[in-house]
Amino acid sequence: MSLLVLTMGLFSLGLYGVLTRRDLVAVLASIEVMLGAATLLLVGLAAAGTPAGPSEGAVEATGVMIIVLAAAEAAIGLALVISVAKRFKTTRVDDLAEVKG
Amino acid sequence: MAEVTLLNSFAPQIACVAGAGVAVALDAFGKRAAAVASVVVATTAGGVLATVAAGDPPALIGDVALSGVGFSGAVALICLIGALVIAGSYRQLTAASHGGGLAALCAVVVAAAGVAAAAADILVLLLALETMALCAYALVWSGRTAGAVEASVKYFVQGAVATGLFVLGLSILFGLYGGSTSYVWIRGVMGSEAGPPVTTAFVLLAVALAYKLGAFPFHSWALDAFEHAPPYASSLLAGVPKLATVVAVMVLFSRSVFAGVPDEYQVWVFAFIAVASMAFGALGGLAQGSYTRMLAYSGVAQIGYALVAVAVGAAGMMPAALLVAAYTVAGSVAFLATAAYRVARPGWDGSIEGLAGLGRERRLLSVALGVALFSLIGMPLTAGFWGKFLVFGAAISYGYWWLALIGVLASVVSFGYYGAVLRSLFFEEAPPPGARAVSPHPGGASAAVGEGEPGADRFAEGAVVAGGLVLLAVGTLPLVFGLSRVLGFLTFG
Repeated sequence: MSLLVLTMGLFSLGLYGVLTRRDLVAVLASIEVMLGAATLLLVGLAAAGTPAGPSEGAVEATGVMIIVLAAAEAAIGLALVISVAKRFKTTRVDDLAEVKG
Repeated sequence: MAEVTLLNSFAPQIACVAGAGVAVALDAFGKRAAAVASVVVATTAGGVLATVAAGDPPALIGDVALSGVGFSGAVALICLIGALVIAGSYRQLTAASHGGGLAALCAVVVAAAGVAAAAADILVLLLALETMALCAYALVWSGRTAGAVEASVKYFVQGAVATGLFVLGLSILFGLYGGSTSYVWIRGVMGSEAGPPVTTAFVLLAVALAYKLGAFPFHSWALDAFEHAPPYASSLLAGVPKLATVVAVMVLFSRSVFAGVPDEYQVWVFAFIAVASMAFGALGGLAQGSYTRMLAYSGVAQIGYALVAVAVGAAGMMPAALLVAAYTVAGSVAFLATAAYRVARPGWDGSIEGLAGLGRERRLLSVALGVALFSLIGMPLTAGFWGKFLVFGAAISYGYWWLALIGVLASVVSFGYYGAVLRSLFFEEAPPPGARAVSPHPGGASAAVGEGEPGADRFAEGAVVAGGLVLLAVGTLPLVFGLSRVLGFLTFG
């Protein structure tokens, strides 16, 4: 139960950050918090004991996959933020007004 | 033995990735034309391999991939449409800096789409979707205009949130139903139990996939990305990933993991998204002056039609596949036409009025585009008709006549904006040469308004004409031979 509260709290915190922070770097960090919380839930649930699965290593493998995925996403995200910073001389979302909606 | 089977079942996707590798190497030596050509060859080869495999009986290999009739059919379509789009973008890609690398990204999108369509494991599906998305961000960005850079950042942030929701849903299923992420396993452990965790995972995965599809409440990235992306990116991304994702959604929700949960979930969640997307796409598109933004709204509406079939359940699978396949060809062709028109009229500002008179200047291209637009409306004699006919037919026969009614109404409304393009192309006079410089739509495809002499992009025009012919053939041949041949290709074993 405490695991659920912790991970859902972390995930919500990340989501809240994505929705409210106006700086792209902070948004990127919030996304990482969301992915981290989801991975933690995965590993935590497995450690708490699940119905017998096919293999013990599957959880770890899946967790590592998600971490790699998060890293790839961060790499692309940072590259995009750098290109925004170079072009617009800012990383604040409000200052980007070219695109409507 | 297991590896050999796995290798066989993923041969088309491996061919695409190999082509991408060759393209990156060639691009490093500055041989852009050869790089793009190698990608076209590789994706075509992948399409041929998958078409051959489509004759095999369906099979579940280990718990990794499904192959055989239906899934190979979907993979074949993905590869061949990808090849058509990349070939049509030859001129743009060879003109872009690192065009070979961009072509390689396109090939990776095609390969990942093939994996997503054939996935039978949530983790595999997640990785395939994410590979597509990461390439897509870069492809949208590669327009390098202010609009394209900003749209790609927006796309990235929203896509990343969707990934977070997907991972959370995956964690819940994996943690509770233990030890494996394969559809078959989870389905077996979960049974028809439907407690709060299942509901939570269902909603999380549905929302994440709706984001990836650009369905209504989660569509805002799609409008900007498709408006501002360069034509090679928008024509690829508007089609191939959506085909793959719709197939994946059908398999996940109707045929495997959530097949046991009560029907009401599926009906209400997807019927809501479907109705909202159809209404929003049809009505929102009417107000658009920009051709590409109008097509982006049309894409939202088309996903709505496909989700009608998802709401119907397992019986909607084949109709949905046909509808999305028809949309994929027509949508890709419609986006690719922007590349051809931009070369034909260098001062074009991206607006629908700006197309005035081009129907007479580039007749074959415009007629083929007209066929694609008619297919998007769902006119008889085009492929789009059969898709909508079967989807709405399935909805009515399962008692969801109101979904079909809304779909038909949305199609009628959408005639307004497709018709505006046709009217502008064929029934309006071209403006005098001096008057073209004024740009009434600053947001509209601001990029690449290059000055210069009108010319002809033979590759883009050829691809558009080929796509138009395919749509006509699929639309008319069933009248002679019956629909079973077309559907046989898409039957999901």
